[in-house]
Amino acid sequence: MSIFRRPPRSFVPILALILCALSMSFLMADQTVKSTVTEHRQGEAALCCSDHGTTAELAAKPAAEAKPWFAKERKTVLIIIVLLLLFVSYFTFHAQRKDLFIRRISGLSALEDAVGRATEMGRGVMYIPGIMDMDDIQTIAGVTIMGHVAKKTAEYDAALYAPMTRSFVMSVAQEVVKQAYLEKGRLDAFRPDRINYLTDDQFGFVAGVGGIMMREKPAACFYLGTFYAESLILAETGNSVGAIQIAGTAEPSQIPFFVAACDYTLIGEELFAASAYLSKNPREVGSLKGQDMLKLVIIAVTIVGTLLVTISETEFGKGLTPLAESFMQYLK
Amino acid sequence: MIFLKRTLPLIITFITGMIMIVAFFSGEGLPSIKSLESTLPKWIQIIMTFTMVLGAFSLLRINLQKISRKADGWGYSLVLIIGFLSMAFLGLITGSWPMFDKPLTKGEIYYVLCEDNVSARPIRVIDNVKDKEGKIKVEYVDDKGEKLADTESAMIPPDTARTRIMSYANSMQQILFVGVFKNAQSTMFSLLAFFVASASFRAFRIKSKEAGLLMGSAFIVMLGNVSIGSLVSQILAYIPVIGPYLNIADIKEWIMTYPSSAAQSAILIGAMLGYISASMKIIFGVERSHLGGEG
Repeated sequence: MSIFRRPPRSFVPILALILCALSMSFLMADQTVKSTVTEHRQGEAALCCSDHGTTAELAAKPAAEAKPWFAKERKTVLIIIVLLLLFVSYFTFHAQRKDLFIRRISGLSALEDAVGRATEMGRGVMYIPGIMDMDDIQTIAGVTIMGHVAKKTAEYDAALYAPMTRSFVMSVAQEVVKQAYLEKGRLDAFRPDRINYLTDDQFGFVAGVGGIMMREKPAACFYLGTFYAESLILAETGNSVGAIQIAGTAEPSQIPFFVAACDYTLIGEELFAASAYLSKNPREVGSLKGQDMLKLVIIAVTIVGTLLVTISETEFGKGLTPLAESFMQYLK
Repeated sequence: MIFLKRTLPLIITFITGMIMIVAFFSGEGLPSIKSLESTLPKWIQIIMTFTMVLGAFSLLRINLQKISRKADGWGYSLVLIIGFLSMAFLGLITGSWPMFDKPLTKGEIYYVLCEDNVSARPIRVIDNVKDKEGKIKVEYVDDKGEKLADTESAMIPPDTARTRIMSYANSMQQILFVGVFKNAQSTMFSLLAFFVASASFRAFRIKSKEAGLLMGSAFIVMLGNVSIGSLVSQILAYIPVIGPYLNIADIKEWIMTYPSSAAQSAILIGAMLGYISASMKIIFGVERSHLGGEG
């Protein structure tokens, strides 16, 4: 937990106090509601005890019907999160002592080449972090990678165009790019007007981006974030101006379009792995490894489950049927 | 300054993140915590509404600067500013017209919107006292105010009747919205059809084994979706031994149900793990690049 890594002296107790106060207030609120309901039921019980049993029996009824504090139907998600946290903690600890291997991701390795190519051609770079707002995790991933791209454009002195479909994302992106230029000592080259808001409308945005592409003719285009029907229009327009294109999204329906129209595509989880891959930060690499380990566990569970259910359907595996059924039930 | 820009957002992210996790796993026994699961997203909507103002100001500032400097393509900025201001003005006027309009007077001529939402039809108020359903009695008239012979009086909600100026404003707004904006939107969407063709052409050029597989499966799926596919299946059925098994529609169904959905599920599982992992990194402050700093 890096926010506790170098905390100010009073930071941790304050945070703990806030969380405790919030939890207590919620619990007290629920407790008040419960006691009111119980009192109400006891009153009702006293009135009708002659027909339905003794007062004591009916007063005990609310306790027997107590509603659960935990949403049992979400236990599988909890197990996955706990496992992920355990793996991430272990590998983060491990990564600080030893370099961990990350497989090569072509799209991310080509990132620097793409910016370099744009610089050699004297043209700009276009970056689009999806069409959703900052409450979408893919947009955050897109903005994070944008910081790395901005460092390269600052280093190579290439123009960075980033039209946005959400004003909140524009504000965050401006800050990220400014910080990247500051780190490279090129704050004078930072142009906030090139990271501009166009429109919230999906196809209005596509028309605007298409216009910028045709006028500025960027030599490299990056589409990293959430995309829907506009993905192919953007990628094909970029292709028509001869740009090298790197795309990435976790939307399964849009991946084929990007694969068909772009030079490199980050598929699904690779988008989230990009930050660790580019920064080589041990904490991030550790979390990436932890994620991979959990994936291995899911693959193993899938294979074992598939075999179990398949065998239980045959004549030889009749004895395994209850186990297979409980396995299926647990996954639901 | 660092506290406001970095530390405070991290504290807020941590606390709200933890609350949302607790709310997600809370059962019905903790109703006040459980209710946060539906309440907090509403807060997000409120915050997002405020950012609309930010976007509008940014759009105006950048484009006005371009016009004042006569930068390349400043004509586009001019069109944008005119469109922006006229839509905002007409939208505000028509959306809040009862604030500017007078109460309906008996015997006066007003206008109601036609079904096409663009043109308006003149009416005369016969009785401005509302009935049980809150409607008033009107009759349809021509432009000179003469009653139309083939029409009967009608009951309409009073807020649908507008004065001449308001009906013009409404028609203008509808012409811009339905006639220009909606059509431009549809035009952009229809471009997709041409782009699908050009992208498919490039993707299906067989340069490797993978591209060959893609081409082959795409060909079968396309054939299975058109009527000529069944004709091909009938012809293939004449091949001895394997012929009856070569049903294009069945093969297409198998491709869509098994290999395609298996690949999609794999991508989704990976993406979901990425979602959880990225969220955890943000909540615990491991990932902070989005705040403008090292990740």
